[in-house]
Amino acid sequence: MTIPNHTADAHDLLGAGETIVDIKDAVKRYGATTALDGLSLTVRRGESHGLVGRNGAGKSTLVSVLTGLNEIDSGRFLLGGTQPPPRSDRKAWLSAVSCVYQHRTLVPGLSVAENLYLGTYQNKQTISWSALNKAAAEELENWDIPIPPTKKVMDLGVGEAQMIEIVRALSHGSRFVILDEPTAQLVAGEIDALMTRVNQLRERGVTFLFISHHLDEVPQVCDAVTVLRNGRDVLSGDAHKLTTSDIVSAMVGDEGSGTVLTGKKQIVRPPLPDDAPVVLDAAVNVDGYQDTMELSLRAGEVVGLAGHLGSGTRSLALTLAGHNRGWKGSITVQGKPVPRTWDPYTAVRTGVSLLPEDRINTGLVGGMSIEDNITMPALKKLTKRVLLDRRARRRFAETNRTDLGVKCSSVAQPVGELSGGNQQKVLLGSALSTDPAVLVLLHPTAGVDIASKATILDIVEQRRKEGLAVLLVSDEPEELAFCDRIQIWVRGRKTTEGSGMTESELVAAMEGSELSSEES
Amino acid sequence: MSTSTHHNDVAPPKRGTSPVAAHPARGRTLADFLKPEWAVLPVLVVVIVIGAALNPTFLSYNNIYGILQQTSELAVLTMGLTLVLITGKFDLSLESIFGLAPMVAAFCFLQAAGGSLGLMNSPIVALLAVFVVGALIGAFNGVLVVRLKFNAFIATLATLILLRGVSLGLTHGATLSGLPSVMTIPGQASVAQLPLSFLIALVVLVALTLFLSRHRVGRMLYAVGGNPQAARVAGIRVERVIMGVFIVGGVLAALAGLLQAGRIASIPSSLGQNLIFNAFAAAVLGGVSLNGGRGTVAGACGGVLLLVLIQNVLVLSNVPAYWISATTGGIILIALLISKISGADKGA
Repeated sequence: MTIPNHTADAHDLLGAGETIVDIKDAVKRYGATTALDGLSLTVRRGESHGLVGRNGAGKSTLVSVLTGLNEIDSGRFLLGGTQPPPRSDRKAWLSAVSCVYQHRTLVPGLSVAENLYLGTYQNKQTISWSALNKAAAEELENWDIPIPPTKKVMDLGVGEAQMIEIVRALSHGSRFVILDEPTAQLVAGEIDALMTRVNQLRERGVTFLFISHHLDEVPQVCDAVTVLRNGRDVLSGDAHKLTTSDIVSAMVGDEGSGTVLTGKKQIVRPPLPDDAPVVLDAAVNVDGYQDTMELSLRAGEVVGLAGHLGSGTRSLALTLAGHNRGWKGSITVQGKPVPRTWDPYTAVRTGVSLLPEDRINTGLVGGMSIEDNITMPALKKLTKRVLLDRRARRRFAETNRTDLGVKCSSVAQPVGELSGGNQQKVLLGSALSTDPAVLVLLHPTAGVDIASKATILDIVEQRRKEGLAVLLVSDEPEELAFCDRIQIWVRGRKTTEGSGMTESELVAAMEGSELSSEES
Repeated sequence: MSTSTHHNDVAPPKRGTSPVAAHPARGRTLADFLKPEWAVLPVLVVVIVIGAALNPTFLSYNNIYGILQQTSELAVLTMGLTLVLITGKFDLSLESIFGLAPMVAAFCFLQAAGGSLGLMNSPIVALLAVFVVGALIGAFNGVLVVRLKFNAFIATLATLILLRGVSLGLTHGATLSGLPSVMTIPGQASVAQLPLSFLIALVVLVALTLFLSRHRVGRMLYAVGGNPQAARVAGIRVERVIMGVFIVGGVLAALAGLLQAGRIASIPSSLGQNLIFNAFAAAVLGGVSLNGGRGTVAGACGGVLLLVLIQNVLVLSNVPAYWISATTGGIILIALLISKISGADKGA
């Protein structure tokens, strides 16, 4: 099979050499943090190269360098054997390298054809719709994608939309495509379709860099694999020869391999008393996931939900906190089944509080004071007859501020002026202000300084001792170390549950493979 | 380990006995006076001084009495608008409610001159109907915005036009006159040498100030306008709050319309026309943010007073009637500019 003619000149951009990407000792710094720390990567023409690594390993930075959005501070970077185009020449970059991101970059209200040529419109001043549709149809047919060009993107399935993104990448002439966690939001059938498609395209000369959190997918599509850790390549080799345990231990590194998670932070808790009641019991079918999700939580218990994007942990947690209308099944809080109209209002009043992950966008009112934010859910109990009891409210806010160690000029200061760690403390104070029975935490210490991290977990622990049940959603071993038991979810299914697991076991399980079964 | 931790009635938490008040409660500082709602004060003083210097009648009892009446009517309307703005929404149709609510009430329940259904000739029912009509139209707007998720600006623009048309259609453009005293007293009577409408506006101002600063639902308005997502997380029923605000806004607009109809003892079909622009200008001058989450009714009333004073000074200074509107617009722009430069306005 041949590559279509009209992209021949673009193809030249990548040259004809053996290697598409040649990076050697690349360093990239952002202020005090070193994102890439002497990284090397070689991607050969026509291969499908897997890239794995945990959050913060440097994958995103690498992608931004490879797509020309960022430049490395030092080191060698050759694209197709030659110097990459200047950063300002977006067109050259688009026709050389393209990236299909985790988030969709298509315009839902426009047709497939228009999305394919968005912004360029075949480089004409006036749009000829018939010509545009014809070109799109040819392009789609060329890559064997049976989707009509006039269909609106919003009417496509997730997998189909992804195909369109790949075709758009190829239509720019690029023969090097980066797939950033392409399977995270797909269901099983779509994943198989994607794998088949990637393999077909590879046979036709397209080179792929395949970023995935699911290690079992890597040997299915990849020829070679590179593992990143702390901005460096720590392992590189044949994807079919390396074992999962090789990859996992490279991802985790020496420091984490043998550590038992729950011992790490020295949180030693006495076993739960046998009579600790079940405060939350759920068996729900959440929209977008096939299996029934089950979860039970006892008073004073901390359960971790670990999993990557698309694992369902976040959806389950939001459903339990009343922030998701699309569910069926049963949720029981403190022995009472919750009503079908399970919304945040009812949840807060029933004793289920949520600490959302994006504090300044979804958790706090930046223009309002610390006092307002902390007391907002609890205003009812701070009301004396008709009006608020100002002194009780101020006392409540001051007490919380002291307990939480919020650094501020006064509780009247707007939370928008506080640092991230202090905002997170205020948000926690707000979530705890109603004395909930269940607290749902989404990535509670993400983007928070070390001192605030400790304080936040301390406060949760203090409440736990008083009987608070905690559900913690995270993919960070550091946060999960706080849990009594950890459930690992992959694609809406609970795959592992246990306590005292090591960091390697955790990472392996989250990446969707059983470490022990492949270690033989 | 006690697990019955969900007690709602406990006031302050028992934990944390350490002395608080690391920062003792401070008095009014300079920073407080730089708040947007105070920015109109110096401008008000300047306008009053200029007015008094230009024309001795400016400070006469009759003129002040008139200013208070006009201010009260616009202030009640603007306070209704302010509630809607604080929650981050818009209600342009308030000026149509201003005109339509008293008109429908009079049309249905009175034998008023200029056309009437004459269902029953009961002034008291008519008076109550003013508020019911205001509440119903507010609820209608609320449904459009909350349930049907229309953009508030467009939805209330449509109701603005629709209701103005209903006013015209009902009366064929005629003016309803011969209102019973029950309906004219609020706008006409005076108590202790002050207009009753002024006292009514004062009561509304005090009640709303207490509500917004010291009632839990009042605080919720700011949370909903400041960040609806966060409000939801805090267990606030955002939709219900917005719905309520549209209804109360409608009632206040109806009250304001009643005050003006009472003062002029008749209901022209153009009652309240173009008033919404003055209300918006006054609210913004008074430090209410169009993005929601910020503003006070006191500030809004300050804005109203400023606007009325400016127009009054212009009239007294013999500015040709045809130029008053243009001059007012220009002065509003200048006032906005001043508050921007003084830093009091953080992007309303």
